[in-house]
Amino acid sequence: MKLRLESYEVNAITFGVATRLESGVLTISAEEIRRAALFDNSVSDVRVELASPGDRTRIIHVLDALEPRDKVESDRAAFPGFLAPARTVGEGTTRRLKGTALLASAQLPEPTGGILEFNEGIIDMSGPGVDYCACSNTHNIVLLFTARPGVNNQDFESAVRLGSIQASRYLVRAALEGAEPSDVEVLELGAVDSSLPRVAYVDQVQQQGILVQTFLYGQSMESLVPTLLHPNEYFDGAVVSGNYRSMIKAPTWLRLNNPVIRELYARHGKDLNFTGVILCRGHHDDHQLKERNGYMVANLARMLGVQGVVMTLEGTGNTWVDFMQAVKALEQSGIKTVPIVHELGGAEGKDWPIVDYVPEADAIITGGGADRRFTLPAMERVIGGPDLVFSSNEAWGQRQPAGRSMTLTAHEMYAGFWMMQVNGITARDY
Amino acid sequence: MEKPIKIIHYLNQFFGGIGGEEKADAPPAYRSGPVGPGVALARHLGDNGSIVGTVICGDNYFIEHEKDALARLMEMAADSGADVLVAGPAFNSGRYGTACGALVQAWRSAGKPGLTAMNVNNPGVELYRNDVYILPTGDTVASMNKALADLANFAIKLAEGREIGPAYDEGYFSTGLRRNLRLPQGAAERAVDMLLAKLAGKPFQSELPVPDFSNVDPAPPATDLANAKVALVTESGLVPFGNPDKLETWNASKWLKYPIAGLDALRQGQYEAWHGGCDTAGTNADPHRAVPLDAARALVKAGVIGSLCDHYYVTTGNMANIKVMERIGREMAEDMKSQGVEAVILTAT
Repeated sequence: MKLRLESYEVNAITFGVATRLESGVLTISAEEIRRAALFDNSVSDVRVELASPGDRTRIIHVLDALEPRDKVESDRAAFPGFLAPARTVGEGTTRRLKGTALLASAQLPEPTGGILEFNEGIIDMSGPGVDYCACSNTHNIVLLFTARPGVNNQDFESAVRLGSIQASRYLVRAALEGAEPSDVEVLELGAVDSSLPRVAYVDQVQQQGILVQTFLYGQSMESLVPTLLHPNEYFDGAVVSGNYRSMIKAPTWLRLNNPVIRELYARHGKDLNFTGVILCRGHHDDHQLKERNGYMVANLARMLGVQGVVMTLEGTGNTWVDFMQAVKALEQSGIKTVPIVHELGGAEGKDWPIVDYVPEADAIITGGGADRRFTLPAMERVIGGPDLVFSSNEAWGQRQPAGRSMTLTAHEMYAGFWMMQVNGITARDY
Repeated sequence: MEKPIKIIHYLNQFFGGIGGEEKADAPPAYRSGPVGPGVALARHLGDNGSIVGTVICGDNYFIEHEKDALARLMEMAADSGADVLVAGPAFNSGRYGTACGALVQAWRSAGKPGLTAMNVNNPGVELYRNDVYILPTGDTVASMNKALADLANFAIKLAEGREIGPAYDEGYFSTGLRRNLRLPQGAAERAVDMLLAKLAGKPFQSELPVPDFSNVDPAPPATDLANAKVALVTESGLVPFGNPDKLETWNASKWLKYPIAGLDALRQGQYEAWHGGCDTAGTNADPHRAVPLDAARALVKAGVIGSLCDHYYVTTGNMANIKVMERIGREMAEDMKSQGVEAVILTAT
């Protein structure tokens, strides 16, 4: 499987009459992208706002974030299974607007609760918050979706996703008419020195139900057993996030730019032999299913003939058990395992940091304690609405003006848990 | 030239040159300058600092008069004009290690830096590691020289107000605190590095060490229960009313035993459960729910078990430290063996 990934680097964004990319400046027609995103009757209106790194801007109520991508081939589409057949991707040519993100911000029309609750995730474009959220370092095109009165959450969030994907396609096609890529990568897991260790990536995603789910080729992973993907499929959007537990989510942007896949690719043929990705879900209903999932992951890894795996976890709580069962099964199969985790541990770091573990987890990489507090400054501009509602345990349900200075934790930040890992934050015993 | 860092050193009666176990009740004393191991400690400090004085106390005196001993030692240490307190090293000596931990804790509460060193199995480690920098030593005086060198280096760092890094890097027993920090490499890069090290059989350090609770193999069943002496053991915190021996409601540091010889029942109001991890109302209404003396006596009468141990054993199983609980279990078992106990009924909450 060979993918030609063309990057078109964006250094600035602005509104204009027509959408185009010229000398790194992405000009966007607000009306045209609005029309592309206003796709479904469940949505009554879409507005567009722009935000760039360094702006004194806070973005709230963000559902998913994409990186605009589109395939050149007429019979294949990025984000397959949505607005296009679920045909295998990861081959051919893909164009991306590098340095940008397409954010969908919306208030869900119905209340949410329990394990399917929407949790706020803040994106700050400047200040100390940038280390704790995704899309603080990209030029963001924010689509603000308004639900049609009477529509339910399920229909609305589906319309938001389809509208975002349509807008992404529109942006790439309109902006890149006749443009030359700034960078081209040929992504292929070619044959390598057979003495290099065979390594796989195990990606456990969050799957709890509507509003807290992940899609594979357009289909929710509810009934999915562990499966095998080529990393190139990720680059084309085979895995899409529909998870609005905003702090613990890995948005689609991070699936398209998965840091572990990028790292394993970079070392393929040098330090290791990257053999593939095992995709699985967490939060199975009972222990037997969790254990079963772990052994199925280990079986796939054995059949790949790998000696080692790196694992990531999306979600927290219950889903830790699934994750640790997979660590156990892999290690017991003789496969060396390095899980990447987040920690909790309380505001002071005195509480036990993780929810579950097994003795086999003897090589853990941690993104640090997500319960520690920090203070965000006031912002001049807020995109997404006037108020936000805190969702972490101790501040649960507190509503406050979104532009204020506030002291909080990564539990209130967009993809906070994953971005702490990405940004090199970690924790140690003192 | 005056050396910049002034250190006060704490020693027990043995290392302080007063005498052996026969002098363990020696009260606090002050000596000017270094004493005993302090001479070598001063050498390790070099030009960075000097030992202005030494405070000494007998092991038993400290344990039996802790409040008074602490007050007098603190007064003498403060009068010496020292910046930093170094206590020990105490190696495997439990009373000494406890005194070192308590004194450094008091000194630190007064806002001044201090530290000690002892072996991982010294009870002082679990008692004081949360509040005090404790450096590891071997279990005997054979590791004295390295311990003194480590203490000197760490004391200089503390005195100069340098930032103390993670426990693993700096070598002290972790204080139960996890702190965030930032590395130049993201998690993915570090994970692949760690995996490659693991695959190559090279050393690596997990960023989040998880405790390895070893399996406890159940003892083989009692072969002749009808002739065996049986002990009643509980982690319910059931103690005589008023908790005369001050058993903790959580994070217990001790175990206790109370007489049941000649008793057929534990009466309501004469016992109470000290346990912060469960609802104790049921046990207080009927103490047999935790210590089934009534049922056990009936089993003796029926010939099912031979006899009952003359005491029941108790601790509190709530938010406990595993190492402390291992010690408690070991000590209880030794005590029971000395009484000829062959089987145990362990009631949990």
